[in-house]
Amino acid sequence: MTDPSLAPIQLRLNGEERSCPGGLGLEAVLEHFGYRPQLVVVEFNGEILARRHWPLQAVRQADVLEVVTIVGGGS
Amino acid sequence: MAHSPNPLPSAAVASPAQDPGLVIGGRRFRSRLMTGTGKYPSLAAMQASLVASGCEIVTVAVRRVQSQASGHEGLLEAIDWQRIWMLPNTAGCATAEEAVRVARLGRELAKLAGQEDNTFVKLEVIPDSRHLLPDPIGTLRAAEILVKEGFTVLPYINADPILAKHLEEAGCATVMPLGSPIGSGQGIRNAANIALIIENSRVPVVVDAGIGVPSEAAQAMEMGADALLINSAIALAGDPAAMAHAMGQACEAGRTAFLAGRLPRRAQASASSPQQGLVGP
Repeated sequence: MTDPSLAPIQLRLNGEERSCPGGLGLEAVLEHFGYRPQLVVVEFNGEILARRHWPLQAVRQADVLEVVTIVGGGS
Repeated sequence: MAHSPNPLPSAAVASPAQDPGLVIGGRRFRSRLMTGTGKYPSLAAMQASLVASGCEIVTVAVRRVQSQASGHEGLLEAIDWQRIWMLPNTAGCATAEEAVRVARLGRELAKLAGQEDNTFVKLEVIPDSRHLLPDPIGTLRAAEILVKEGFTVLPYINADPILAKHLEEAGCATVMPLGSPIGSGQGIRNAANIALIIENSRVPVVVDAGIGVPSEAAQAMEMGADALLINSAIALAGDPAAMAHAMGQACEAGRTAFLAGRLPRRAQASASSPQQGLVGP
């Protein structure tokens, strides 16, 4: 258990510093934080990432994630 | 004779069937009332109001997923996106750059709702939080970028006829002039400018913001507006679903009246009864 890729990492999630296990793919990271991946859109390091890439997208130290959805609003 | 030789034809109204409907970005809608999804006292009140209004286009905001509580995913599961066309908005964006970013996220969210071909965006660039008045220069700049990216752009603007023309020439699918500030319920405070926009526009004119009561909704439609967007006046009514229904009726009544054509205005009275054959002494 000394694989450094499995050490916890810090990432920036919706503007907050958060910690999660290292070595996870993006989809697993979203589930780790309690999101339902089928109901969100993700900007990964400033670019919208198509969901077909989520399972294999490695999440590393200092990555920046925006996890968004639609909410009530008119203007 | 007890019976009239020419009985009244039944249902001799300007049928809404004569109305070809509202076409935006090549897509046809029967309803000319768009609604918002903010400020409702409950999700159930919002859902009932959408149905009661008869609307087919609903605007939604794009936000970070805030909490881990159930239902935090927002409106993706609360609205029947098979029936309702999603109009993601860029509310909360103060600059063109922010609005472009949020528009791109909104397009992905529409796809997530099963609307693969939905490129609509209600473009709002609003730096002023007190009056929520839109930035005309930032709006035009964002519109130019989004049109190039293939968006169907519905820009929210102050009722400036020249700006409306610039946006039309930039390829926007509509223009959405405000009647008065968002959520103010002050009605149509700028009718002369909205009339100029309607007269000069080759794209649909959607009066967005300010409408407080159905008479104001009808007023905008009687002037020849192509559609309305109403949120606060429905959501903050005593009975939102009942007001949604009333707004839908007013929108239709105003449209039908516009198609029917109003009587000319006169400076003086003009009696509606014959002036001959008056009963006299």
